Amino acid sequence: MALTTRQIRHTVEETPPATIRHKASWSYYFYCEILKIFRDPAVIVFGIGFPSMFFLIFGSAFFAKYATTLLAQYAAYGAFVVSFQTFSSSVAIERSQGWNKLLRTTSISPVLYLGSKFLVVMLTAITSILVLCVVAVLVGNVHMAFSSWAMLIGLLVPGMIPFALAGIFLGFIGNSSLSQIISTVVTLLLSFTSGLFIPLQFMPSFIRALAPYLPTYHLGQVAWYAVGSTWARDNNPLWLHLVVLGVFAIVFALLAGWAYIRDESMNFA
Amino acid sequence: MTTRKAVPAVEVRNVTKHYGSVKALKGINLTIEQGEVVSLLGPNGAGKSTAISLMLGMRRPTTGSVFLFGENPRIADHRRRIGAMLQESGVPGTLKVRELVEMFGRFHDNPMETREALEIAGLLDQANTHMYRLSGGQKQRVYFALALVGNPDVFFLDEPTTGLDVEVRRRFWEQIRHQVALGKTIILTTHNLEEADALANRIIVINRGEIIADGTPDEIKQHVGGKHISFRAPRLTLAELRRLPGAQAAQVSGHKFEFYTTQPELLLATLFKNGAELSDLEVTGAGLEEAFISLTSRNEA
Repeated sequence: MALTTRQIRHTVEETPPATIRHKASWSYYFYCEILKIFRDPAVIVFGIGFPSMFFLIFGSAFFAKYATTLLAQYAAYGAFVVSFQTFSSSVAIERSQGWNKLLRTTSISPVLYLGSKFLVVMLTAITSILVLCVVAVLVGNVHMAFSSWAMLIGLLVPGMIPFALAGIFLGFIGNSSLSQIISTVVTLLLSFTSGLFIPLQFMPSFIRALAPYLPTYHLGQVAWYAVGSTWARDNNPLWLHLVVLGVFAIVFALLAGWAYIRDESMNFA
Repeated sequence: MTTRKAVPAVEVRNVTKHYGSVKALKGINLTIEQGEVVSLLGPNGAGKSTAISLMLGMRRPTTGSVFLFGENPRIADHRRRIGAMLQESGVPGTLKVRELVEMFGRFHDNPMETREALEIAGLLDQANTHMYRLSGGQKQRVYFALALVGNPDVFFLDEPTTGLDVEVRRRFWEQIRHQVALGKTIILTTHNLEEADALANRIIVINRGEIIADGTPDEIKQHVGGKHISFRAPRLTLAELRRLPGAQAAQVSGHKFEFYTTQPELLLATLFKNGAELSDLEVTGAGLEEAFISLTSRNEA
C-alpha cells in the first residue's frame, strides 16, 4: 500500500531524528563544584569574610603606617586557609558521606574530580583576596601601583599549591570529624607562628626560631615582597622563599598521592 | 540482516574476592545476558554486595575476571551505560535535586532530559530543593533518578527498597517493570523474597561466597520439592513441633502453626501416631521463602 504524501509528511513530523546528545560533563561538574563551595556558609564566613574582618579589627589601629603590610599578611592568610581547609573538608566529607562511592559508578575520572576541586579552591581564594583588596583600598586607604596588586595575586595563587596538596592529604587520611579538627588546629597554629596574625617581632624567641621552617612563613614573606613592605620581611631574596614553597609542594604532593592510593586500596580495590 | 549474539551485559569468570583473610567470594561464574532481570538473593554477608561491586568496577577481583558489556568495568569510560543505586549513599547537601540529576545525566552517552528523569521518579516538585532538605523516601527517589537519567542499558540496584513503605515499594516495582519492558537489563540484590519473586525472571542464590542455585523463580521453588504445612493444634507447642522429623522453619502465624518440610508424609504420620489433634490442615507447594531457607540451610550443613 503506497503512502500518500500526507501520510509520509505526518510520519516524518512525528518522529524527530534521534540525536546523540553529548553535553560536556566536566563543565557542568565544575559548575556544581562552584555551587557547593559558594553555598557553604562556612566557606563564605571563614574563608572570604575572615581575612577582611581580621584586617579591619586587628589592623585598624595601625592603618596609618602599616595598612599595606597588613593587607599582605591577611591576603596570605586567606590564601592559606581557603586552600587548605576547603580542600580537606570537601574531600573528607564527601568520602564519609558515600558520595565518592556513588560517583564511582559513573564515568567520572579522578583528574576531573581533583582538578575541578583545585580550580574551585583557587577561584575561592582569589575571591577572598580580591574582597580583602577592596576593603584595604576603601577602609585602609591602601594605595599601590597596579604591578604590586598584580604581583600579590600572581604570587599567592601558585603559592597556594602546597597548601591545597596538604588539604588533599588530610582529606584522604582522616575521617571527616578528625580532619576538621586537625585542619582547624593546624590553621591556627601555623597562622600564629608564622607572623600572619601577630608580627614575629612580638613573639617569643623559640617561635621566631621555628618560623622559617613553616610553609606559611614563606607565603607571608612572598606576600610582603609583592606589596613592597619591608617591616616584617627577613633578609632573604624572593627566590629562596619560592623554592622553599616548591619543596613543600613536592613533599605534600607525595603525601597526598600516598593518601589517595591508600584510600583507593582500602575502599576501591 | 545478520543476527549476531549480543554481548552479555555482565560476565563473571572464575572470580574469587578476598578481603585480607576473609573469603567473600569463593569462585563464582555467571553470565547475565542483555534484557534479563536477575535477582541476587542471599543472607547478609553472603557476598551479594561484593559481587555487585565487582560488576560495577568498584572493586577488583582477587582472581578471575569481570566483564561489563565485554569490557573491563574498572576503567571509567566503560561505565557510560550503567545506572546504579547503592546501599549507603550520600550526596552533597547543598546541591539541588535538578543540579545533581543533570550532572549525572551528562556522564552518559545519551541521557534523557533531566525533567523527564525527575518526572519518572516523582520529583518534579522537589526539582529546586536542596538535598539536605529531603526526607529519606525523597532521597531514595533521587537515587533512582540518578540511576535512570543516563538511559542506562543495565541497572544495578543494591537493596533499593530497604526502608521504604509498601506503597512506595510497589510504585518503584512498577517503574522497574517499565524499564524491563524497554529492554533494560536489571541486576538486583535483595533479601526481600517477595521483591525477588515479583521482579526477577532469574534468581541466583548466593550463600557464603558461592552460588548455590541459579534459575527461574519456579525452578528454584521446584528444585526444593518440599511442602508448606499449616494447621491448628491447640494442645501442641512450637517446641514440640520443632522436634518433629523433617520440620524446618516452624513458626506460629495467627492461630496456626506453619512450617516447611521435604518429608510431609513422615511428619504428618509422626504427628498422627502420637495422637495429635489437628484441624484446618493445609499442605501446599513451597513458596520462595521456604525454598530459600532450605537451600541455604542445606548449604550450611
